[in-house]
Amino acid sequence: MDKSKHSDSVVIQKEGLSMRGQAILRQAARSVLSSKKMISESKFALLLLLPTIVILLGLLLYPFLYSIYLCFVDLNLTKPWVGAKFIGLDNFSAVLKDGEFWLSMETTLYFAVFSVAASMILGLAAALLFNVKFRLRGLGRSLLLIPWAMPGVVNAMIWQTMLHPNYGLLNGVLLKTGLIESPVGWLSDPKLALASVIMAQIWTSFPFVALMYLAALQSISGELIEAAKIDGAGSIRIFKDIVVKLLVPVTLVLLVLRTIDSFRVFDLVFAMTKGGPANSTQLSGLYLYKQGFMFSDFGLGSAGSYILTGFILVFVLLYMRILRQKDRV
Amino acid sequence: MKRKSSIMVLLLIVLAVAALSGCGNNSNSAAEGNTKTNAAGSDKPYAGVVLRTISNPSNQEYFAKVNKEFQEKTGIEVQTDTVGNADVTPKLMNSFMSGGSTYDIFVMDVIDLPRFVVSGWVEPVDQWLTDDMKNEMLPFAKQALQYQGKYYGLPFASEYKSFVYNKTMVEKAGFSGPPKTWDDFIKYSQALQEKGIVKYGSAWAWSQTEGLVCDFIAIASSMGGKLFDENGNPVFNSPENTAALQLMVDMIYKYKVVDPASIQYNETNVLDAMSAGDIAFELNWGLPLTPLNDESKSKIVNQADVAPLPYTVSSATIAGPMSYAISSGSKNKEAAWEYIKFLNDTEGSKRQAIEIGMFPGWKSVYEDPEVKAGVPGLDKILEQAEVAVNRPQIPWYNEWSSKFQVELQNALTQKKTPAQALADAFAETQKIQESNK
Repeated sequence: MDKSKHSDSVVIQKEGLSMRGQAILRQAARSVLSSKKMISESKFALLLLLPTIVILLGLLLYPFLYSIYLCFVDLNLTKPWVGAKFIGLDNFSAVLKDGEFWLSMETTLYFAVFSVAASMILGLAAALLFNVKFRLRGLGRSLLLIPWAMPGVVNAMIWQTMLHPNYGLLNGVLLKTGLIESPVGWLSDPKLALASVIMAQIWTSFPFVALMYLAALQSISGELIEAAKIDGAGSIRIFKDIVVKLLVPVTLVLLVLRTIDSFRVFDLVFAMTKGGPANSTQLSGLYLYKQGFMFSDFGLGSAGSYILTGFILVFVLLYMRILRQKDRV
Repeated sequence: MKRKSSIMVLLLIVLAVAALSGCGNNSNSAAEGNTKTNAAGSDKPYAGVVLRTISNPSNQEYFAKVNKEFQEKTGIEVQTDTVGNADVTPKLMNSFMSGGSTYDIFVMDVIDLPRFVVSGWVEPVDQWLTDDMKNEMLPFAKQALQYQGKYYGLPFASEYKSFVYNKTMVEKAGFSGPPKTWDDFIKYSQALQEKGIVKYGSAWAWSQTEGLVCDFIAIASSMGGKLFDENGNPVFNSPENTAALQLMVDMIYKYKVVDPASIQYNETNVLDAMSAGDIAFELNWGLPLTPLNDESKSKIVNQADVAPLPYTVSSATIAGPMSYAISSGSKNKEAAWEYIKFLNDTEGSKRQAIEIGMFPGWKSVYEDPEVKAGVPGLDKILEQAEVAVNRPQIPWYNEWSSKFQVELQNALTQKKTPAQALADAFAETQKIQESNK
């Protein structure tokens, strides 16, 4: 059936050609037909996608599978004579028994709760502000993005300089205004160091929240607000019953993204405090980095990473449950 | 059926990827023993040999020039993989894991030697090292090359920290010379502070980094403390070490002569404070007087001088030497030795000192008139080089240091008493030691 169709089209086209031309055309048509038989369209598509698939599998699937494998073996590069020895769940139990891991998890939890909450509140406030029309709003919106666009290490260095006890901006201002009498060791006091790191994280992360909220606010139909006004709703009522409700989906997305981000922060503490003083700012990302890349214990590092992923998953599921229920109400 | 075949295709791809990544390791062997033609019997027995090494970009031009001269002299070609500083160790590790033949020669930090030896990654050089060479080395540089009775490599960048004091300030406070003992140090600092010359006598690199371990070892050694015995067993909860840590804590909180910001400082911060004239004493790496006498960076030009670190038993300081070593997997070990000798023997080391300011590990180089003229200030710190000590030689150094830093900071932030912090560090060390058996 197929074959005759193609032969017809070839017959139509060959009118007006020389004998030699016709012969070439016939041959070409035959080769097209035979090649059609050899490879189907879907296989051809797969062939074209193959390089990408190989690269993606090589860079994503293979390391992913390998990291799962690493969780169950004792692979320490400094003990090459041992090789990769299967040790079951020992890596997981070693991480869970390590007091330093739990201290890093506790620190991460504080870090995540405070930095996520504060960046959400600040972000929403900034979005509400920039949703109102005023002069230089465009410039303001552009400037807002600068902290977010800044590389993590640069952000850490800026804050480290501003928080310098003797030459830093913050102590300088506080001393000049008489709010403090002697310089505060923002990064040398274990109690203040984590708060300082959280502050740096909020500064770099709230613009993203603001941007997402701003997009969501702008998608709220003006007619809806108008209708509510006609029905006699005040500004607070409109904000509470319309705006907040419509922001629930984006809030869920933001909470999930920001929580994941906070749990995997590494560059900030690595550049700002190296986890000190006395491990008071050692987040789990830094703890895992040390296990894998400083102590060459990749099994322990991998197992710890999956435990951390499990914690993040619990948070994400919790958010989804709470916010979905709220959405239904 | 279709699904089955798709799964098969997927599995095949995964296998192919795994095989390909395996090939990546094997391809390292392509560089193995790149011997072209061996002109045996000539004055260039290794002519045609190609050696490979890995390095960060610092002093690239110097090494390119020396490598060219070396090739002209011996016929051995040295190819250098120049990578970012952070990539040197991972790439070196990859080479070791795949047989160690990718790089014949590499630069090794003193703290890496035991780990590399235990892992079988580094080649002993005893067969080539002469007694003259051994006698010529500075004690700390010599010790940094030895592990379990064998020598590994030749000294390179043999740096140590030197104690520096602001002579002008000290004289202004009424003293004629530098503080000799720790009691003097506290007394001097208090006098400097009382007279309003400085806010704090000194600042130190006591943030949660390697610098803290280095400073602690220097201070503990000056008070007769020792961290590990000859068999690599921890002995650091001794009264001497406890007294050293107590002194560090007291200098912050009791005598208030050390800037509390030291808990977050690294060596650069300390140098900045010294250059700004905010402190009168520092312990720092390299040629400390050079940046302090640089008008564009320092407010205390020609004010500082070096002196031995204060002590209660005998002066000491901390060293952080490197060495040029040969990979166990190298196919051209003799040629590799020829190269590291050319680069780092007394002649090579002298040239490095003059041309790129590298610290020599040989005593005679310090005494060389050309070096004295070419590297001002080097001869002044020789006294400190002779009493410099190395960090502990243990194969699990990184893991130990990381825990030790935290315990030292627990004491410095007054979360624990010095005795408690060192006792806890001792217990942690025993655990690490056990897990690495």
